[in-house]
Amino acid sequence: MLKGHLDMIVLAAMVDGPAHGYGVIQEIKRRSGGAFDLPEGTIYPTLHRLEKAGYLASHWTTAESGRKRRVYKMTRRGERALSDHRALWQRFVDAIGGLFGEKARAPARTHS
Amino acid sequence: MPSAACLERKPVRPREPIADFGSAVARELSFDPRLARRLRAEVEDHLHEAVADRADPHGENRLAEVMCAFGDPRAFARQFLASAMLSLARRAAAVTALAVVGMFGAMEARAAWYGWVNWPVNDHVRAANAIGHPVDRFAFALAAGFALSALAYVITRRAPVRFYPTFGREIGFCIKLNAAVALALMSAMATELVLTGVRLLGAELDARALVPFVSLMLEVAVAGGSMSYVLIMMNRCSRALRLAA
Repeated sequence: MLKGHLDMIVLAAMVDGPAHGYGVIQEIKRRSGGAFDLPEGTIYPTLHRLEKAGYLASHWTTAESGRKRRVYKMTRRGERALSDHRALWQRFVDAIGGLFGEKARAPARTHS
Repeated sequence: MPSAACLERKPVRPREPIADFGSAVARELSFDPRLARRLRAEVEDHLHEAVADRADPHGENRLAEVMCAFGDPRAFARQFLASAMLSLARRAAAVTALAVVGMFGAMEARAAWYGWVNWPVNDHVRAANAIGHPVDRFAFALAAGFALSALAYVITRRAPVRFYPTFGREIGFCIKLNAAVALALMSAMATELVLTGVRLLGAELDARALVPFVSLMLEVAVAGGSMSYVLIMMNRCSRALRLAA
């Protein structure tokens, strides 16, 4: 299930500003309360794919340690995609919530 | 007692697991040097960060843990295979398409120049044109057709998230199509070389000959360059397919 939403999970983890690969992983872990503990190597194909799709832009910087660091930043297009996905996800959550609510009431109806 | 040769030997570099890991990633992606360089730097930075972030005070364990969390370098590199191969095919298709346009421009410029300066046409030129022109046109039309097909493929195709063998075969076919473009351009160029040679040999060589000569050299460079580029791409594609195996 996670795989199908990885692009949006990564975009959601970048709403607070630019981040490098390791930072994105940490942010996903933190925001999901540790529930999404992804294999760390899986983040880079997603970052590269999102960049090719125009949802992210990236550039090299120098970290405090002096190492070269690739930093990713969300583009306007990425923000729009995330916003669309958030609305879609909310409708889905509402629909599932409604469905579960109906299920919970169903046995009660048969007994009455 | 150690021998003198042994003492003269340079000290062995201490193992640097993170740099070795980065090298392994770069080696697996050697078919795309730009991607390999970028990912090597990204992976090394990631691993250094992760090691610094671990609370475990035992250095060796910490490193092993980080490497394990990242995954195998080959498996990591394989995740980029589909998009990298499509990128190779795109570059090859763009270069051959530009070569077709360049050759067409040079051929048309030369033909227009002949008309502009009223270049004399003798019997030898007429005889050579009667055979050479259809061959030249056929080869060029073939090149243009193949180039358009390759372009259409790379423009419409999207890289799948995961590489699969059929996709690899499609990319291989597309690059072979580009090789066919380059071969057809070489044939067209060879024919043009003969036709222009016949024309130049039968005329007085003055400043007017400069345009046919320069345009011909341009064609030789374009056809040769596109062929070399496609051969490099074919080599990279076969190395990429070895990663898939």
